[in-house]
Amino acid sequence: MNDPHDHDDDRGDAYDGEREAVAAPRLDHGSHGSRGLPAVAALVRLARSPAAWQAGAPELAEAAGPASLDELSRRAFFRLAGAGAVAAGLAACSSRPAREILPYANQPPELVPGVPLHYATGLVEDGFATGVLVASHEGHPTKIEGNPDHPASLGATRAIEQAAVLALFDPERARTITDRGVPAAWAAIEAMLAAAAARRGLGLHLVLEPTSSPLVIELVQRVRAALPAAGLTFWSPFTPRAQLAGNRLAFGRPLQTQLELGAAEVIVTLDADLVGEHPMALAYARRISDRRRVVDGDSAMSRLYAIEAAYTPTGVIADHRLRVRGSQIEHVAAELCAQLIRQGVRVPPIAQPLAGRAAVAERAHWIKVIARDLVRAAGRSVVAVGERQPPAVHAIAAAINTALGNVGRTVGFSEPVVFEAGQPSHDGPGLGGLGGLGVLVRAIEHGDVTSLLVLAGNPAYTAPADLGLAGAIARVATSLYLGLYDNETARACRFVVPALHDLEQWGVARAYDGTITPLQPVIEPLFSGSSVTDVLHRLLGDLPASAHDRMAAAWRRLMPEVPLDAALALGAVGGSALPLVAVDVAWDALTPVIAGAGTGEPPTLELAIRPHPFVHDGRYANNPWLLELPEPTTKLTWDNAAQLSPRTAARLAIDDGDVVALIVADQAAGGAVDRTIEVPAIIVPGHADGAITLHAGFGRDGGERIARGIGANAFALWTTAAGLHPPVTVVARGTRHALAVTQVTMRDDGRPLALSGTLSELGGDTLRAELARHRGPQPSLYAAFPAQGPQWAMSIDLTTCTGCTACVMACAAENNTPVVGKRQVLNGRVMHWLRIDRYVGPSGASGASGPSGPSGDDADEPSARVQPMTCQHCELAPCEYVCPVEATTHSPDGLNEMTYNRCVGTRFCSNNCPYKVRRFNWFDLKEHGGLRIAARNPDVTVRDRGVMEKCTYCVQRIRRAEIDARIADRRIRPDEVRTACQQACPAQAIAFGSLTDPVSAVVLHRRRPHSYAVLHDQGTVPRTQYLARIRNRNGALR
Amino acid sequence: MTAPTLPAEGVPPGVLPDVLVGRPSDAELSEQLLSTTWRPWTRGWKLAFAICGALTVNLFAMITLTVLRGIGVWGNNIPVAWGFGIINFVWWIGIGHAGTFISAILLLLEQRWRTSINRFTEGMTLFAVIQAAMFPLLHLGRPWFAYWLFPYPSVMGTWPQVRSALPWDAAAVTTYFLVSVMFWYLGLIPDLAALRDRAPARTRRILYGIFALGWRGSVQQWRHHKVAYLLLAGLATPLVVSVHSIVSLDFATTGLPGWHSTIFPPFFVAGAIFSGFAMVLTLMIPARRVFRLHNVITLRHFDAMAKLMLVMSWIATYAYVAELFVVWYSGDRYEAYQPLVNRPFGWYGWAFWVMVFCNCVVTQLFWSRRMRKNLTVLFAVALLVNLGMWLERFEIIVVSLSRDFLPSSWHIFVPTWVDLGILAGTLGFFGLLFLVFLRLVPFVPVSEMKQMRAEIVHDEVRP
Repeated sequence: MNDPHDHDDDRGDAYDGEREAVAAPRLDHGSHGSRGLPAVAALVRLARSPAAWQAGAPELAEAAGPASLDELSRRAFFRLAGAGAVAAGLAACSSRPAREILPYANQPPELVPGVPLHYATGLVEDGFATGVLVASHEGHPTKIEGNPDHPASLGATRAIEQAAVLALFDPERARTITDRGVPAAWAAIEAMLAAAAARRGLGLHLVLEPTSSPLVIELVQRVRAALPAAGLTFWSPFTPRAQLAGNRLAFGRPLQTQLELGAAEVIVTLDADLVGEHPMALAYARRISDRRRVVDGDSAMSRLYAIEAAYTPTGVIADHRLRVRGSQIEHVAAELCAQLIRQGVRVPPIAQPLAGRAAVAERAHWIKVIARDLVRAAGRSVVAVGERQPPAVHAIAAAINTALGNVGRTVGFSEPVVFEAGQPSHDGPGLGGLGGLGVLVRAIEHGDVTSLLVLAGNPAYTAPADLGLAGAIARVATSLYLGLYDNETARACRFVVPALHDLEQWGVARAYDGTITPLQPVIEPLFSGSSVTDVLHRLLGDLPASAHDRMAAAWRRLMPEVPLDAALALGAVGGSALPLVAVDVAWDALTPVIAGAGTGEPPTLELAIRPHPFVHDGRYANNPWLLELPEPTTKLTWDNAAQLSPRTAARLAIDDGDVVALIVADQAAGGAVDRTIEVPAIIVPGHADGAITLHAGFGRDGGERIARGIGANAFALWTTAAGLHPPVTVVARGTRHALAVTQVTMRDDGRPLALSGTLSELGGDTLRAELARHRGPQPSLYAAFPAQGPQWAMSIDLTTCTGCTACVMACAAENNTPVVGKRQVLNGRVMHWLRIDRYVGPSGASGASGPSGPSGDDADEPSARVQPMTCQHCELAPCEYVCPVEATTHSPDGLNEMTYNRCVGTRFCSNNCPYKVRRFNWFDLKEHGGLRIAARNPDVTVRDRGVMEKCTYCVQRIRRAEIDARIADRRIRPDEVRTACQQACPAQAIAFGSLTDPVSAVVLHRRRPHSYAVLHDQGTVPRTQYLARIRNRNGALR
Repeated sequence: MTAPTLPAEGVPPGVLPDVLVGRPSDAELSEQLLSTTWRPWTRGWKLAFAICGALTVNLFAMITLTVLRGIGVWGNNIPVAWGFGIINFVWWIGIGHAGTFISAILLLLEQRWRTSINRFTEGMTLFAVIQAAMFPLLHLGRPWFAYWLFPYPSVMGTWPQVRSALPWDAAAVTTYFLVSVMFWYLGLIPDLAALRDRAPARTRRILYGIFALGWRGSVQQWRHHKVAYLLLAGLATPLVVSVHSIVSLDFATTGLPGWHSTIFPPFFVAGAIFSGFAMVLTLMIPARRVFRLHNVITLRHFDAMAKLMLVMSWIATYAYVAELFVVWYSGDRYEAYQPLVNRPFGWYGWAFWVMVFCNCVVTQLFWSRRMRKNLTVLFAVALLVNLGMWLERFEIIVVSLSRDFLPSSWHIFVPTWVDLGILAGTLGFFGLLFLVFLRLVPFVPVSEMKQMRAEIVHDEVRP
């Protein structure tokens, strides 16, 4: 045992629950029980040491008597004991808080120890807020849920929001103000700010993240007024730019596209990951899914065509998916436009000649079919374009949507939510020109910048490589960085000011649709952090009162009609979404753009840099939860890799894990300089040929110990002149890199696991009969288990599940599952209780007429099926009868339970689990201290070394609901218990409830013809069933 | 000490040598067989002890590491939650079976050739079971709670869960160990008494005297001894079948493709005896040579054991083929995948083909009488069968687990250096115990040999 406490823990396990209940939840689960002993020992030492006595309380020293405990008389003993108590009390008084603190005797009415409170606030990324509810246990946040009243969340979260609670408690966050690494005070910085202000901003430059906060905007405008000479750049690598530029082409001004997907019958995405990457992804996933909930073969279901290069979650749920590499999507858009005109969509005469453009032969049929579907559903269709497409494509889509009459129904346009979005201060590379940072670097080179304030983001890392921003920053006389971490930018700047985490500050931000989202701190700042507004106020020379007062004052000024308290309680201001504006397509200007779209020669091999779904642009890269979360498409953890299609890999003679050099010629340097990174390759069936997708956010080089050195830096290939899909050369290095994927085999070997079929097949008998074979009673020699009370069950809809992996993160956050690290992932020891199985290639059901997809299932055009897989809570559970010590048993309400204290760790249960959902504590995996354990859920036991664990159906939530129901003397309401995975799911693909409740969603799901059990023929009678993946295929595309 | 005159190895072709070459007197037998315990240490002995001792130290270091850090230092994972630990367990316990088979079943069947080798093989059984018994304990996530698998009166009123094969496993192995110890010790008592009487040093005589339990060789004592020995043989006989049958239930009672098979109990027993005989040969051929026991362990013994190995090899082969047929006939795609695809062509395809070569092919040499009497061939085949039977357990445990129902959870198992170190360590520990055994007690039962000689002479005189 590495720690003597361990053994005590093991023996005392049986009493832990009781002890916690009495002592209220504590942060430290690792070593309770034996903490008292050192204190006693210290007291005895204190009592024995006359020196300490004389220093503390001389009169007591005299009374102490003999020094050895053996010599003590009874009287002397009591004297000593009493003296000890007094001495200990005195010692405890040494650090009395300076301000009055309140005893807990009069507990606030809203606070019950052990019962979490939820506070509404928001998390902001690239200026767009997502409303969340933060569960707080006795003052420390432990879990983040989506805010159902917030339009960008609708109650769901991404993995990133789920993991924010761990980011808050990241011990590696910047803690103190430093001046070139040496602790410093505000005074030095204020001198710098005052000097800049004295010159009316001459030589001063500010770099901010794109912001939608009225508070920040107001301050920025004041700075502009007070310091007119100051430069201002907004920078974030993946802020929407092309969309605004495209709408400017179409409508003459930069507008933000707002989709109303709930009304859309036909959706065509052009390299647009609406449900994965979009700032409104959660809401869009919900809206799309709401139109795709299949009850039977007659259900109305929208149709989704995904035309994309990488295999995104949107591609996963699509009915038809066409692999087209990024640079060719422009052609597709122009061809689609031409086809629509040919099919009679009305355009002004000037645009008529556009109809002459013919589609590339291999996709001509596709384009024709899609166009026909769009015309059929005119006014109820959407053409959506992703951010990696040039403005022309966005403009074409805007024109198509207008011509189809979609605008005002499924598509709208609003003013940009982000301050000055689409203006030069936001310019980035890829759209021509240097962008805002380029201007800054030029100015630095000319010596025009003497003071630089970088007030968020990490531009030294995310800026295009050819700018050499980090080096330029280092040349500025005084620079200041406000950030959460000692990252690349912090290391380039002179002063570093620790920033506040979103969960620590007062503020306001807007959602993508403009909804005003008030932010409130759910915890006192852990470190001495500052916010952007703090710094701007100091720059302006005023720092009034507290952040809350400032916010309240600003709120009264900006939104006098909305009471702040009500808005804070709700987490969103209803009806504050930006109004849609009327638009007219500027066909005169647009027609030549469309005519010229996609006429260039495509490169042999092109590169697309995308934000990573979990670490985004690298800002979340120091979060071990997110690094260990399997990337939805590749299941890769702790790395990024060059994704390429099997055919391209074969052409380049590259295999999974081969290290390749990606070489991009730097156009800004006249193509003379090659920018190279080395990265392992990973083969993704379904990826477009001739293209490589690389996720950004890795290859970090700052002071963050977890993020540092993982993966390769995609931004090193990103240059100002390169465009969105630069040509890339791939050279195999001849070395190998171990890729820590959580799923090694993606083919399902023809097994009927993730069943699928089409909507029309569901109306017929063949598929229904096939599916019926996968459910219903099974003969068994065993007696049915004695059911009593509610019977918990789950149903997962594979039609709407996008595989986004938010549920996996939510499960880990709720259930305290440990992080194991890359080596252990490589060894098949990832601890997630829930995983998302992904199968590509021929579908696993018998017969060509069975539920296998009728088309598009060959090796080059695979159809990916995702299947969340967790403990199935089998009624006749194979794990239970093989356990020699009855550590896993069945509860009367149908849960397959683990008694951790009883488990001896034979792992027999895992061997006999056909779903392989059990996880074993191979080592002592739990953290034994540090800040991160504050993020643990106090309602869930932290498991010890050597015991088995697995999904519990969030039994702690079930028991909580039972207790609430019993107190209120009522039955548990249908759908009252929501599991963590269910709650996080943006598509609401997971239903949970009791089978005894006739109106619960899970019962309704089970009545559907496509409900089935995985491995039904094994007779395990799983309580989790699935709704087969149903696609609304267009018959013309068979 | 001069070695007794050795009879010639060469026997006319076509004629089997006897189980006892020559007709040594009782005194000669005592001298030859008891002297193994007090012969001087040679450099070879010291080297052997040093190697085995080092491996044993390594074993306990690895065990310490495993208990301190957790099972994670092994290569096991999900889905391959059982790895080298359980392979070694099944392999070692299987090896033990040959000893019990030889001493108990052949005793009851009155097979005379068992006499000179039964103590040797019983010792092997005992030490193999000791190796085996370590693993179920060691492979637990929390080995300090291993006693929960036994039905003891817990204050919490908890009992083992008897539908699981594991409590039965624990009971079977414990029983097997206890019966083996008793059987071995009971047979040893007369020889311990002989050592008490003949050992050259006083300390030895005292120690052997204590363990001889006052044996005087009286008729009454002999009568009781015979009865007790036969009774214990009767008790041990079902264990040959039951222990490995119960071990096989660890697998057969599950639903895992590759494990879920009713053929397992007899198949495991046959495999156990197969591997046990291989281990007997592996140990006996060098021991016979070192101690020059060519007269008491004759080619007749080797011939019999080679024939038995051939039989067991065919039983194993039959089981392999039967499994192919059964999975094909069942029509169960998951079952069929294991023997038809995964084992021969999966990640560990090489291991399957090596196993087939070792267990099914190479043993066919024993159709030839010449091969059965060629000790080099016998030794080489024995080593290969040891390897083959280890690989068979690898096939069953690791290969089946690495690819079960859901391809999403398929994962390869790679042993760590701790896995390899423990395997090597148990071999060393086994060797150390065996070397001590060879030097401590007469490993050919002297009294039984004398009795057998008397019987042979008796038969010769009055045919």
